[in-house]
Amino acid sequence: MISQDFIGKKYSPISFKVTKNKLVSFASATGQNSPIYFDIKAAKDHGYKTMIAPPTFLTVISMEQDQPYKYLEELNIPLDRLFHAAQEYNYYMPIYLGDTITMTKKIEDIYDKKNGTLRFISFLSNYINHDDIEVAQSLSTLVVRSNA
Amino acid sequence: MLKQHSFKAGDEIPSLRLEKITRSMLSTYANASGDLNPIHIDPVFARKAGLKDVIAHGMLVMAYLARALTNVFPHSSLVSFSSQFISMTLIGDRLTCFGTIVKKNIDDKNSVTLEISMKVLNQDKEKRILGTAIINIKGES
Repeated sequence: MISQDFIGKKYSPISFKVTKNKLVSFASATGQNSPIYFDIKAAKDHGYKTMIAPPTFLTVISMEQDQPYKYLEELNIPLDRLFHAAQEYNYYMPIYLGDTITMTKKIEDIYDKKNGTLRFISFLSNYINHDDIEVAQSLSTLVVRSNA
Repeated sequence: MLKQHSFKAGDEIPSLRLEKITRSMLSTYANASGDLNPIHIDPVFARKAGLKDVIAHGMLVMAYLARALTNVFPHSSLVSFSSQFISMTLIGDRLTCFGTIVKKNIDDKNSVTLEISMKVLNQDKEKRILGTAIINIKGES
């Protein structure tokens, strides 16, 4: 089971360039059909300075690494026991095409439920753009099941 | 009059019915999101993990639920959005997204804040996600 000594652990920041290709493929894969997520002119017509990212796009940033699940090794979590329990976003500013977003993540909490058969681990992440303005914050809670 | 002003506590936002979940949708989402966890794309891995088949990414279903909001409210009005992943979304699930206004507040600048209780159910009314969203639209002075 994951040791509570890991609470507070900080990970190296990850930087992510928001490209048109990434925005369009994500919007398309999530069934979005609003043109503000696909077309620069449409976004401008709706009052945005350019195309924007859909609400859950931030998840792409945490996967933007060579081995996005490598952190599980140190925590001794097998991938086939890991499930996503909850996700929370607070939004401060839109994420625009052309932004460079830097994400910093830390382990916020580790706790048990159901007599220890479920171990929860939550990660708090902050996202700032290239102008050093905070655009969002997320809390991601994962659960490790002790048996299948 | 803007839509958000006509909503009151107890009202439901238009529900969003989704296409049946297929393995192809999951692999498309896996590539677009970068989440290549085999539990979503490799049926052999999923079976070894004790499941009947691959399951959908919780984040994909959360993205569908977000659409129910952005179909109704301007994107910039979304202040916060959260989801609890209650049960696994399976291949073949036919999901519907729902939202109910639970609170409405108008401040002295005519800014409207809505708290919306949300859920994603499958065709058998099984709860896949329970969620909450806060919407805020600045008033005209």
